[in-house]
Amino acid sequence: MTVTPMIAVDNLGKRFKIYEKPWYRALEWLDGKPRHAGVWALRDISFEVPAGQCLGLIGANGSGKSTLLKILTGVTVPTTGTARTAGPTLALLELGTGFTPELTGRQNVFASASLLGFPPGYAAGRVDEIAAFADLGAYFDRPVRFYSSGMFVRLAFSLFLFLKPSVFIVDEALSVGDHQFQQKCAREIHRLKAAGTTLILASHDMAAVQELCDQVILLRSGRIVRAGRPEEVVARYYAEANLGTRRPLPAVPPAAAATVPPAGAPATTLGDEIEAIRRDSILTTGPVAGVGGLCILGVRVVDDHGRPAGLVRVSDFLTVQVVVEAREAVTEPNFGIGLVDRFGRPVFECGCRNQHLDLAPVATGTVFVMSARLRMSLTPGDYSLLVAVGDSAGHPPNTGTVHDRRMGLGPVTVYWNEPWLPFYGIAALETCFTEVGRL
Amino acid sequence: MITLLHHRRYILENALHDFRHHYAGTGAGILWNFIHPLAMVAVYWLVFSALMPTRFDAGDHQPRSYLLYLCSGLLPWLVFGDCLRRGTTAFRDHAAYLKKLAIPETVFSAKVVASSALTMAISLALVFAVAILEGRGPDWTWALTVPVLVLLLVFAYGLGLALGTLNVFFPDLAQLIPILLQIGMWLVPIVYAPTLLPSGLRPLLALHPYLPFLVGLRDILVDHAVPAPVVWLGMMAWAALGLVAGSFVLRRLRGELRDLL
Repeated sequence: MTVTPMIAVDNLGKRFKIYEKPWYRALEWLDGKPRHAGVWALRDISFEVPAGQCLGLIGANGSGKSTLLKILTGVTVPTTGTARTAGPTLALLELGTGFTPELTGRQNVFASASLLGFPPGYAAGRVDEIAAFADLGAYFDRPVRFYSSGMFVRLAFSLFLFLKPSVFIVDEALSVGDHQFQQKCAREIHRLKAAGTTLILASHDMAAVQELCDQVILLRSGRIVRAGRPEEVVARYYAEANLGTRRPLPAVPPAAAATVPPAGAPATTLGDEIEAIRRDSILTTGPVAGVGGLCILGVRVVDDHGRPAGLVRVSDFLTVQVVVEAREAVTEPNFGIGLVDRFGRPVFECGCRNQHLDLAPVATGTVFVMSARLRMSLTPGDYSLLVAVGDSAGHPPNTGTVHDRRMGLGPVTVYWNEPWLPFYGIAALETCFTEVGRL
Repeated sequence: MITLLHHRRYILENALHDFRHHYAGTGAGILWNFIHPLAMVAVYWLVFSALMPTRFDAGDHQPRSYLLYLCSGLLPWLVFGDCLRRGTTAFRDHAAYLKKLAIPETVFSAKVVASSALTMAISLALVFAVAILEGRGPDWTWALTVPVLVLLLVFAYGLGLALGTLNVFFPDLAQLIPILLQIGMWLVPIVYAPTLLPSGLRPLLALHPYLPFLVGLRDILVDHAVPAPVVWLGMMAWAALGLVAGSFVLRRLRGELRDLL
């Protein structure tokens, strides 16, 4: 049985021309000599979606998802290849585009339908359903400019749902409105799908992608990295840890190729250890803060086998090893580490004093090694590391003099490679589920 | 063409909406649509009637009303100029739609022309009123103003399509067009008599796009005469040229148009 696909994309590519100055374009028209740089936002994209199926599009920001969706809706003209949809296609790319603030919700429903080229009777037959779903009450007949942002989104979403397109494109729009409305939308999307609407879902919400999609495409730098079953592709997405664009993921943790002694044969003396840490140090010439005194000479991150590692599975251990030299005597030395996520949020910061480890005074010229073993119970992603040494003498709790503080080290990548995530949110709390009993 | 038919409801509703709401919130509201052209006419009439006798000679030794002569040329030109200015910025003004919805670009140019058609109707009514006041009462030839003005608006549509597209790539165009329109207005005898034009410039006059429309309108409104076939041919040629230019430019640049908005 051959089924004509609802969406057929063949060898699609989109190249943007970048001109340094706008008039270079005119010069190019006149003499035909190219004066632009070309950037391929999409390349070699081919796929098909059978009617009634849901395709997920995932990938980091800038991977080409939006450009692909814009081509599918007909907003953007592709440079190469073709994209064909067999039937009316509606996108939630930008909710409420085309709403006129002076018109009421009801008038906007009609205006939008006519804007999208639907016949006049089409919206009229559905306006009651739309009003009921949007649940705006009396506001439905008030001008849209009095709406709260949530009400605006509800009206837009209801309108799009009930215009009943053959292909429905949802782009991050599922995260709008309050929790209750989100659930209502999710139910409605399920219903649409069950009724045979073909869906394309572009999202960073992997739970939604896995729940709704029949196939998933992972994009990176405008190319298809992987296409297939949702579990597979989402696992790959996490394996790339949201950021695979910058460096290719090694097949085995980088430690395997490193120059350190093999597992099970740790450095024998402290001198060897210090030498190894300084050799594998991830210290950069980046930002340095502190008044000096205690100086950080080297920082190394290793896994439980003692191998340098920049990659760790969720909830596995990493150990941060730091070599410190005291260039002056310090009576109450303190040492701490921290992790900052890719949004710049400090996820965790902790020092010896917090853990009631009071270090003995150090004399001038002493070199000592500190280490912190961390369970990386964090959501998959990139984290930068910070290490700091200081003096707590004469300071109230939670304060001290920073001697040397190094930030932005790493990054350390936390990954996950199974369909079920171990948890949702920023970090894992110790959790114990028990079924207490059944009646 | 088919896309325009498909979106006709949107075009017409929005043109009407633009027309009605252009002056929304102002005290005089819709009246501004009359006040603006009347003020322009008043200015030129006051200034030029001091320079020219009220019964002035357009070159053929037949005295005519200067006011009617002025209105028949100036009012359609003002609407044409306004239409072209708005056509030039049409795509940038509607960037929010073009970037997100797959509505054909031509819809927005057509919308501009449709709302200009309404203003044109008002202007035409004003010209008729002036004619009646001047004792050049209704005449069957007045019906011919409709095809003339339709051809003028078709020309404006095609030109607007080309300029609107180019303005996305070169925004300076939006600044340049009003200047060109200002110069263009003084190159043809809209407010002055053709005899005032230096004879060396007269052959060049034939290249001015507005000339056949101006001649046609004056024939009909001032002289109650049917324009000569060559005048009709001139109008149709400009309208066709406008459409060809518009569709050529749009087709060539459509691939990049929305990427730049």
